[in-house]
Parts: sequence; C-alpha cells; structure tokens
Amino acid sequence: MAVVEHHFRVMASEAHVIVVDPAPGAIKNAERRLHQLEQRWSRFLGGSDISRINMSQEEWVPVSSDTLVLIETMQAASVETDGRFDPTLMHELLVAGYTASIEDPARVSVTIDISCMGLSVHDVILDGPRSQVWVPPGLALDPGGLGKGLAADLVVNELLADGSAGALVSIGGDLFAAGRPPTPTGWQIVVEDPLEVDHDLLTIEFDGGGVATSSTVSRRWQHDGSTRHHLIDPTSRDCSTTDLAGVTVVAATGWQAEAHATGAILVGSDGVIDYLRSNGLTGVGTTLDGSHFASDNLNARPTLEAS
Amino acid sequence: MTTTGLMTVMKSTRAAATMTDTALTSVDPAQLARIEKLRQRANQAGAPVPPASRTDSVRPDSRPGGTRRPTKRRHAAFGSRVAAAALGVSAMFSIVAALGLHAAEAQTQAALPLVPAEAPGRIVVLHHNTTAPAATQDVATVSASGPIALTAQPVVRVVQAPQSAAPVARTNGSR
Repeated sequence: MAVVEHHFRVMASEAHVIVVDPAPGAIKNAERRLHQLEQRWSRFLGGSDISRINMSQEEWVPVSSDTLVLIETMQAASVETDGRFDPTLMHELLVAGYTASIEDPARVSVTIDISCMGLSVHDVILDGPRSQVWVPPGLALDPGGLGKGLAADLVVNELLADGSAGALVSIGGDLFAAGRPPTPTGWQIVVEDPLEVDHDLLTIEFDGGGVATSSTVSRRWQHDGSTRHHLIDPTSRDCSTTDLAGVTVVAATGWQAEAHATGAILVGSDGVIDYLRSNGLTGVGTTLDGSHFASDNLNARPTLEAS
Repeated sequence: MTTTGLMTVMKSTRAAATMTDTALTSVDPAQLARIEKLRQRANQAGAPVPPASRTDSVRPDSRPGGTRRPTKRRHAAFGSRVAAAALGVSAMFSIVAALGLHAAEAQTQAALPLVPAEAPGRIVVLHHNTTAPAATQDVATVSASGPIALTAQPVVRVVQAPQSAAPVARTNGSR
C-alpha cells in the first residue's frame, strides 16, 4: 500500500492531503482543484463567484456548478442547524472588523454595502439549468468554514472517482476522509486543545467521515479597542459570547461537521452535549476556563475525565 | 489597513435599470414572481445605502430606519414594479414570437455579462491586485447536483496515541 502526503496553503489555511494508493496525478489534481475552489468561493477575491454575487445588483449572476452546490449546501446547513449556521452575516463580520484576509491583508472583502435584515440564505434563487444565481438586494454571502468542509468533501470524492483507494483532505482542520485508510484500523485524527498550542486533547479513529473544529480563540483581532473574533451569533448579530473556546464535531461529511461545529459552539457549555446528542453527533468541547465536554462515546478518554 | 490597490467606484442608478436583465434571463413566471416579492421585502426591510468611502463601506448606521426616506423609496419601488412588469411581458412576447423559446434562451445566455454590469447608484470596493481569473473563465453550464449528503454517522473510536508511522490529520479550528 502506498500512502502519499502533501501540505500546502489554500483558503488562508494549511491544507493537508493524504492519498492511499493514489491514482496518477492525484496530489497535483487535489491541490489544483482546491485552489480553483478558492478562486470561486473566496470573498476576498474580486473575480470569485461569491464576490460577483455580493456585488450584484438585482441581476442574475452566472456562476460555476461548484458554487451552485455551495449555495445549496449553505441552505441545507442552515436547515440542519436550525439557523445557527448563517452565511448572510457578512455585514456583521465587516462591522466587527473582519474586512481583509488574515492570510493577505491586501485582499479585502469585495461587496456592495449590505445591511438588509429580514432576508436569509433561503431567499437566494438558484437557476440550475442556466447555472446562475439571483440574490435579493442587501444580501451577501460568506461561505466561511463551510466552504472548506465542502471543498474537502468534493475533492475527496473526486480523488476516489479518479481511482485512488482512499483520501483525506484537510483545510485548516476542516476535513473529510473516505475510502481505504492508511492504517488497518482507520483514519486517525488528532484533536488539538484550543487553549494550549502543542497540547492534544485526544486522538480519534474512524472509517471515514467529516471532522471540523470551530473556535473563538483563533482568528481574533483588535477592532475599536476590543478583541473580536470571527464567530457571529445570528441571534445577537454580533460576535458570539459563548463560553466555549472550541468544539470539534465528527459528522457524515465535512460540511456537516463544520456547520454543526458552528451550531454547537454557539449554544455554549450548557447546551453543547444536548446539541450533539440531539443531532446524533460525536464531538468534544472546551470551555474558556479549560473544562472539557464530550459526547457519550468519547467520555472514556482519561484526559477528558480528569478535567 | 492599507488602501493601496483599491478602487472605490461610485455608481448612480436605480434598481429599475436592471429589471430588463432579470426579465430577459428568467422566463419562469414563478421565479419572476418570487423575485418581485423578494424585492418588495428587501425594500420594506431597507435596501443598502451607498457608503461614502471604502472605510465607510461598513456602516452600522445603515440599518433599517437609518437615514432613508421611506416615501421616496416606496415610490421608486412602485415604479420598479411597473417597469418590471412592462418590460417582462414585452420581452416575453417578443422573444417567443420572433425567435422561439429555445433560441431566446440561447441568446440570453450568450448575452450574460462577463462581469456585473456597472449599474449606477452604489459604491463598490474593487481589489485591483487580485490574481483571480476572469469572472466567468470556466463557468460550468451543468445543473447543480445538490449538497453532498450522507446519512450514516461515522463510528468514532478513541485511541491512546496515533500510530507513529501512519499519517495523521489534525483539527484545531484554523489556529
């Protein structure tokens, strides 16, 4: 069995691709494809589908089929999380100061001013046959982490379709794995402690699926004299005040893991276990004071019990 | 944050100027009706207000109930609806009668702008130094296949430590 790994930067994150018994050109194709998806989905690139949608003024915008899938996935994620995942909070993100790419501050959000309340991602109209999109005035889209999770899903499926035996694609820790794993027992994922660099919470193993971590301690910045972060609460329309520092969720797909990680961290420590249980998910959360919460099937871990 | 490489473009238009686009690119009456309802909802909620500069493109005070004049906006929306209806109906009849539905669709797709039309009335912020490809360089024409949906949740096991020789992925919330 041959296993090939590759690390590179994409979507302002570290990408990690693992391919088992790779088809010819698998690694190169995966990297090229992830960059292509970034070109289509980044809100910091003027020519991306998302930027052109966000700049549109009551007109149909021609987009790639990838972007149609992305928007349909956004709508599905909103439903699955009861609205906790909301990709239309761009105005609030900009108000909070997240106006430029963390990777490259010269890249700024490309959008008209957006301030329209009372509309949702479900009001975006998709025209599949013509591959075009119409958004109501005042609505803008920010794929956020969902784009990374979905990108991992798409690329892994494409790698397998091209003949590779197994594949894992991780973009900043939002990942999806499927097919034959590199070990006899499964794909292994290390969940890092959101509060301590170089400290791991636990290692999990599965036959395949999606994993994502949502954190309020990464991607922080100073704005108007206060510390802000990228997690906007749709109910307050401001930076979340959750007492959770991070939540890692395992789900069937990368995009579902990402959407539910966002949903789980927003409910806070009082509701995170119920949230995971009611959605049939595996996950672990860490509070800002260092306590840990885990779904029932992870509670045997000594580290978590000790905390 | 630097403003180098940025261009602020001021535009001056009304939404009605783009109604023709919608009428010509969508021949589905249900879709047109939905678009019209969304326009009305957006106008009731408060349409975007043009910011004065790139920095001001984030405007907390541009929420509904800000500096808008509702009477004027309602009047404009009413005019837009009339224009949309007129243009939509005339365009539909003309296209169907002269060219046939399929030919009209082909023409419509061919006429789609490569970049958003610079309709006046708002300020947009453009980034000049982007390396992004042309807007629709490789736009696909296939229909969306929908979100990837798997129903079975993964069975997760906790292991004491990763196998040293095996590749391991890490998750950390994009630290």
